[in-house]
This record gives sequence, structure tokens and C-alpha cells, in this order.
Amino acid sequence: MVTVNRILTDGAKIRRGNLLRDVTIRDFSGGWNVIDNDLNLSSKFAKLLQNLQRNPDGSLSVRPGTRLFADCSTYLDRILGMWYFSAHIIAAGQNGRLVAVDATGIVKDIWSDAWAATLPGTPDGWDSDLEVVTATIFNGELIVCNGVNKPLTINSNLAVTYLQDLATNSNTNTPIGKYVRTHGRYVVIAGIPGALSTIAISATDIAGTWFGDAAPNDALNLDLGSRVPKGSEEIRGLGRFRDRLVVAFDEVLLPGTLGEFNTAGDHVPVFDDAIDEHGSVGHRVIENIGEDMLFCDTVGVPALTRALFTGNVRPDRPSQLVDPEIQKSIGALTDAGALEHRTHAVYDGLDYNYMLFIPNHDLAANTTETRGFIYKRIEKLKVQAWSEWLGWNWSASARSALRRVFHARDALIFIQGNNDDVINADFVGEQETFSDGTTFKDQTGWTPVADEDDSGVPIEFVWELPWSDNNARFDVKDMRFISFDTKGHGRFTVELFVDNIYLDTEDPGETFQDETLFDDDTGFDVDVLDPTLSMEFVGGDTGGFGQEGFGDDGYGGGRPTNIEKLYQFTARYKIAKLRISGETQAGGDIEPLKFISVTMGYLQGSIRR
Amino acid sequence: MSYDTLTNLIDRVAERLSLVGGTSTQTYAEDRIAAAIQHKFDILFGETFWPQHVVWVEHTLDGTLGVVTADLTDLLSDFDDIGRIYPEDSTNPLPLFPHTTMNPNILSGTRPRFYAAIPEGESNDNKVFHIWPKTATGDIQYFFRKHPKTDTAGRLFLPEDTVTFDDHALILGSTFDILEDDGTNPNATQKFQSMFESRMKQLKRALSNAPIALDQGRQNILTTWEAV
Repeated sequence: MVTVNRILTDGAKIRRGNLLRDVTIRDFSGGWNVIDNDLNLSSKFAKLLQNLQRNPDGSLSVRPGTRLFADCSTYLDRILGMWYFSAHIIAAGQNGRLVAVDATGIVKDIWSDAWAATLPGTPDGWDSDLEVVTATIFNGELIVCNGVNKPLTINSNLAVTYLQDLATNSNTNTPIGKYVRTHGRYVVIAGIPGALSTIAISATDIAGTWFGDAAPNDALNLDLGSRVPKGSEEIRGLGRFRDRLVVAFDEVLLPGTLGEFNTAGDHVPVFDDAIDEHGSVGHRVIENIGEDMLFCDTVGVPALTRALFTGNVRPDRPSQLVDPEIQKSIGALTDAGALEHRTHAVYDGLDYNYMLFIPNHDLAANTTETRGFIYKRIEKLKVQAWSEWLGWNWSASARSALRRVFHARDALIFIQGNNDDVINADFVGEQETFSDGTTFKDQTGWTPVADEDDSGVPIEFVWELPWSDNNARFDVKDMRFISFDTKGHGRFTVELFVDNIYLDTEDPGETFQDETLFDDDTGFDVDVLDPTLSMEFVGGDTGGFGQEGFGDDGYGGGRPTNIEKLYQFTARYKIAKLRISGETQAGGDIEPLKFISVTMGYLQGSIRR
Repeated sequence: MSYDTLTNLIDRVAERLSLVGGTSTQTYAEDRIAAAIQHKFDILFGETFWPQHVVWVEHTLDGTLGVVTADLTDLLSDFDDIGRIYPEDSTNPLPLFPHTTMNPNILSGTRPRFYAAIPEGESNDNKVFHIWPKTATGDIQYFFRKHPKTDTAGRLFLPEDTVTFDDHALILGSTFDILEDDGTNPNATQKFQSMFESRMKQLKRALSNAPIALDQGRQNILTTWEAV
């Protein structure tokens, strides 16, 4: 009879060393990067980073959700602009009306034809079918422009009137313009019909007195067209950077200094500098962030910073890692008006996010999504990371005094969650899922909702790392285990791609509705991924067997990632790529899903695959 | 010796491997563990005639082809699993036909003399073995080890099947197998190897626990002519 040894090992000796190696990915500081080839990219970058953000603590978490804050549909058709002023959100509609929304979400009509008729002289209200509305706060008043009608001013009591010269009570000389910006002691208006390269600068310290009004008056109009060295001379927007007014054109920025006077006492703004190859697609994308001014041009997101020693304005382009994607979204807009008026940005001061939203269609009615390019920068922590936020369709955004961020879609205003007010789903209070937790294919849900507490649609997220060779490009690796450090709730699927096999090339594509293909047995071109491994996990704080909500009836909550036992995840590869995707768990008081690290155990083998 | 289902054995091996437990939790480990358990069972099944697998049957020869008339499909599929074949009323087992020293075509008569395998692909290969001379008639009585999954392609256990071999041996052997493959802690690997081998020795010693009759067949007076 043969010996037991021969049964299995034929006398084989046990190796002496531990051959299993491990690699942990815990540096996600790079954020989204599409400029570098992902075959040669550090794992601190992500090839896809959708609806996730890099946190100051080094982790990645799902972006905050949104909750319905106010419904302005009684007064407004579609919100074109939103600003925080005097403890209210002031929203301007495409129909030329204004509303004020208080902290509890109560909407108050503050400007309409009827309101205008109550003013002295019974003027008309604003026109309807507007394209853009901008505003600025000057001396305790909100000044609102639309490029078609005379500007309005709103005082701290939310009383609205036309912006006018206080001496004459006339707005005859008040310029009509699309863009308004406060700088220093002046209100500046641009985008003036018939004078698209001209800026109108108000009288010093007075918002209603403009060029042509009675003395004392140092207001002026200044045509900057001759100072534009290249591209269109039409002004796209006005920005403010420290002590400079920045006038943005398509391809040029003109930083200028206001408040300079000649010996005759005339206001003589100084525009003696021009920054080439940096422009702005519009006024609404310009945001000031402390030491920087961020905006968007047809290349990506440039920034103006101050040179360290000279103090001069210096251009920078922090979006280089994602420029191709920004260009793709901007390139999809063929209508200059859509690009100029409907692309907008907001700065979330609590999460340090510059959020740029670009619509996916020229027409508002056909727009299904405003793609969000999110740039997180925390200078002191050396955090600079991009991510892509999807599933939203915002026409305007605003930020409150407490740095809460609000977004508008149609006539609805949503408040964005944050660390103190965690919102794990989108459109809470407005939409809800089917009873099985699923949504329509476009990730929208039913409306109105039956139960506000359990409403909202889950946020889908994708995190795709670059290809990795475990620092041994030529050798075969046998992956054995995978583990995660995660916090929060929610399920996610981990997929592993190996050896450059990413798409399923045998998939014929999508069929017609009757499930037939074209005559050549191919379908519509749809990318189908071809992962070698796929496994679903749940966040570290998710309940499971024996925990509250599940009990001990034998049903758990998925594969928990908060235990130190092993998950086998076996594949052979020379290079591998991880893709983590999922959706948030809507409803309830739960923590958002957060990724802290990913660890893989593998054996390194020979060069022969 | 106790048995367990394949599902439970997988879970128990996963536990020894410090894998997260639970039904369908280990998507990529369960098949691997199942394959290891199946391998251990199949190898150990063929190691000896374990009492729990031995089956005695009596079948009638067809008298022309040298095969039994019974359908062996769900009984016997591997020639190696045959233990002993006896002509009816005999305690002398038939020897394997000596292909290298005898021409079977000179054999005649109705008394079974030898048995041999039917090669795969030959006619009646589902009968597994045949008797020389092919004209032998009457019944034969034989025992073989019956694989519990003889009726299944590849003789593979299903998750709910009870694997009829000592559960400790299967678990220890499978754990050792996978640990070695995973390249983890060599001391742990060696520990499981030793534990497995110890258990196997124990099981084999147990085969000798009962009194063994020595050449029991020769105690009877011969009543028929037999080739010796």
C-alpha cells in the first residue's frame, strides 16, 4: 500500500519562506487623471473617479447627496441664477421673476410685473424668456442684471426696485448688461448689447450712478476692445482677484486696477497687462477662492494666482490632468450662448471644492445632465484632486453664509449635504425609488414621494484605478486575497481586470428593442466590460448577521469589510486593474461610504504567463 | 469517522483558512476548496477498499460476450474499483487475465476463468470488465468500491451531497493543499500536512481493528473443479 505522503505531495517538501506578498493602496491623493496613460500611472491617481471625492483624511468617499429645499414652481419656470443674500436664497427665473427663499424653504415672490407696477412710474417688470441672470452684492444691496432689461437692486428687506441714480431717481443711464461684478468701491457691468467689449464702471461708492448721470459723478464706460491682443473682443465675464478686476475674453484675460485718478480727478482705470491663452467661457464659471480665482475656458480650468515675490498676477492651469474631459464636454456644446450662459460654477467652502457644471446639450429643455468637474484644493494639506460628479442637472448654484451649497433644477432648489448634515441620496424629498430600491435607467425615481424620510435615489459611483504591475512588470502574479478598510454604509462591487483585457470584444453590442441585431450580427456600439473577477462587498459600518436591523435569522448584509478574515480573490496576471463601483444606500441616518485602503495578497511567479 | 456535506466541508475548510464564512461569501474560494475536497476524496477513495464504499453484487453472464447482463451504469464505472470476482458457489477469486503469457482464444467452456478490463471505446465498454472464456455462463459474485457519485459526470459531488469519507481527513488535507498553494505561513502549512497524515494513519489502522480471517476460502472442501 502506498504511503499517505504519495497521495498528495509525493514526498514534496514544504517551502521555508512565506511567499505571499501584499500591496496596499492607501494614497488616493492624485484624484482623477485622464491625461496620463493608465498603463503607466501611479495608483494614487484614478482613471475614473465618478461621484467620489478625496477627503482631507486621505480617504475617498461618495459625494454628498441633495435634499429638496424649496419648490419655486409657483412663481418661476426655470431658475437661471441663485445667490445668497440677506439670509435668503434669491432665485431668478427664466420668466423674469425673482423669489426669495428663507431658511425654512418658504418661497416669497419679490419681483414680477405685478410688483414692478407698484413702483413709482409703474414700470414693467422684466422680460420673460431670459438667457442669463447675474448678480453681485454691493454696499448691502444685491444688484441683478439680465442683459435685456435695466438692472434691479434688492435691499436687505428684500424690497426690489430698478437700479437708479439716487439724485434723479432715473435709470436712464444705468447700463443694461449681462454681467455684473463688484470690485473695490465700484459696480462693474459688462455684456452690454451693442458694446460687447465695453465695461461700465459705476461712480465711486454708488451703485446707481453711471456714466451720463448728473454730477458729482466719476462713473465711466471703458472700451477694452483695443487691449485684447487675440481672439474675440467680446467680454465673456468679469472676475475679481485681490486688488484687480479681471475682464475675461475668449482667449485673453485683462487684469485691471480701478480707483486710479488723474490730476483732473477723473477715474482712470489701469489695464496695462494681458494674459494670453487664458480666457473664460462665461461669467458664471468665475469663482474666487482665497488666493486664487478659478474659472473655465475652452481648454480647461485656469487659475489666477499672485506671484510670490513680485505680487503680479500669474496664470496657472490646475486642470491639466482632466483637460481632455473638460474639452470633450465643452466641445459638445455647439451654441455659444449655452456655453456662455449655462455653464456655471460654485465653490463649496466646507469641502474645499470648486464645482464646475457643464450641460450636456445646447438646449435647456434637452439637457439631461450637467457634468460636474470637481476640483478639491486644500493648500495647507497639499490636497489637489479632481473628480467627476454625475447624475445632476443643475441650472444654477449658490452658497450660503454658513457655506451650505444649494443647487437649482427647473424651479426646484436642493440643498447639498455635508459632514454635519449627511445626505446619502440624491433628490431626497423629491424622488424615490421603486420598492426594490432600484430607479429608472437614467437614475431618476418616482415623484412625488410617499415618505420623505425614505425618499431619494441612490448615488452611483465608480472608482477605477490604473493598471498596476506590482512593481514587477515582467513577472506573472497570482492574486490570492483582497481586503479593504472602509467606513460607512453601502454596497460596492469590486472588479478586477487583467492583462489589458478591459472590454468584452465578443459582445456584439446592444440589440434593437425586439432583441435583434443588424444584418452583420452586430449591435449598437456599447462598451461591455470584461472583468476577470467581480465581487460585492459592504461598507465597514454596514449591519449584518446578528446586528440591529438584521437579527440572527440567517440573513446577513453582504460581505463586510470590517473584519480581518480573508476574502479569496484569485486571478493570474501580469498587469491588473481594480474598478470599484456601487451606489449609496438611501434613507436613514447612516454614514456615507468611505474607502481608506485596499490591500491585495499575491504570489509573484515567473515570466511565463 | 463522520461524514459531512460538501457545503459544510467547504465552510469548515474556509474556517481553517481564516476565510470569511457564510453561504456564497467566498465566490472565488468555494470552487477552489470544493476542488481540493473532491481531489482528496477521489485519491483516498482509490487508496484502498474503505468499508463504507464496498458493495457486493451478483450478476449473470451473457454466455457469448463474456459480460454481465446487468446494467452497471450507476454501479461501477472504473475497472480499478473492482475488488474480487468469484464464480458462483466459489471462494476462489478469478485472477486477472495474464495478457502477456496466455492466448485467451484457446480458452473454452462455461466456467469463468479470468477477468479483464474492457478498454474505453470498445463495444460493451459500459460493462467495465469481461470474463474469459467469453462463453462462460452462470452467475458471478463480486465486490467493488462504489463511488457515491458514479452516476454523475466526472463523479463530482454537489453542494448538498454527503461526502462519504472522514471529514477530518478531507478538511485537513484540503486545508494543507490550499495553504501550500497560497504560499502563506509555511509552519501552518506543515502543521496541516502532519495532522492530515496522522489522521490517515489512524484511519488505516482502524481497518485492522477487527479480527481478520486468514485465507478463509481454503477452509472449505472443494466441491467443483477449478483452475488453480
